[in-house]
Amino acid sequence: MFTRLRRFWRAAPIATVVLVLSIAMAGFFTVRSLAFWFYWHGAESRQQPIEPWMTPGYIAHSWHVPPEIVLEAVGAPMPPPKGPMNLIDIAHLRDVPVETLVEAARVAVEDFRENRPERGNGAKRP
Amino acid sequence: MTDQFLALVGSYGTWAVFISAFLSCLLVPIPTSLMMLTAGALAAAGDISIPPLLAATFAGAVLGDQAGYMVGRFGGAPVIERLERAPSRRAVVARARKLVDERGGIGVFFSTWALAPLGPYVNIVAGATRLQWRRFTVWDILGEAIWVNLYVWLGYAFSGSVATVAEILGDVIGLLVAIVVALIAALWIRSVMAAQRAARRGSVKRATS
Repeated sequence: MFTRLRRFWRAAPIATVVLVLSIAMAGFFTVRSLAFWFYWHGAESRQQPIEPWMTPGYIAHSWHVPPEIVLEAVGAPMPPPKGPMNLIDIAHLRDVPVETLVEAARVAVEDFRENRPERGNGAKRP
Repeated sequence: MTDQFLALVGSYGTWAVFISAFLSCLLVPIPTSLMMLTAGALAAAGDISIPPLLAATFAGAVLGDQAGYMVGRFGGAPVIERLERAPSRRAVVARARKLVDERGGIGVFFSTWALAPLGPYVNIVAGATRLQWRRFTVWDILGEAIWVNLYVWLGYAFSGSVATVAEILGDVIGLLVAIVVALIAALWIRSVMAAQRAARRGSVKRATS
């Protein structure tokens, strides 16, 4: 294999470097894909932890709770304005740190799911 | 950094995805595929309406590709014509032109979705080597329709776990790109070695006659 590589190198050095790098990259992505595949199957929960970029509607959808639970917890403007609004926007509007809203949404979702466990699907805490 | 782009989707919805689809076709490093997945997920949650999202993302991508093609056509074509003046490069450029002429359309098609990271370069090369504009546009529209629908609907279907879907898709696309680049490098080496063999045979013949 090395003699062949040396022959390639002598004929076209740049192409040989590209070839070796791209094969290494292909190996890297193969390993990563497989690792993720196993993670995906082994994961107990596929819900995403609540983050500032999420909208209240998205949090409710992801965690299978009624939207009002999250909307109320983060103090979203009612009636909702035109277009989507994420936690960062609501925090700006209410002039509170966004972390407060993330925590409020997390507690509200957790409370709701603990009191109505039959609606959840056994996922972990948000 | 990624979270800031996702926040733009949450705040500006369809418009954020339109602009990022346009810019990412012009080599601006924006995680457009993740933004499309997220927009699809927000659509599943009822925050964004699907038809305008699909239309705007598609329009942004096609307009971005057209801009890239024009950059190649008006900025790159003169460079290639200058390269062509050197006799040593004339054969290489002619071969490249022939390849683009024969396979350019299908190359554009796959570079818009399955090999999306190569897309911006392919647009510029297509313009610079004067791939027929109509052919470029038809294949580009077909490919972008797949790209946009694939990501938006996957985001919609796996709305609870877009980050995971984005990573898996990123790995699969990365793998495809790596394989295609390796194949191109292999063909490149093969053609150089064939040319060298031919040159050697030619010189041997000259020496013996």
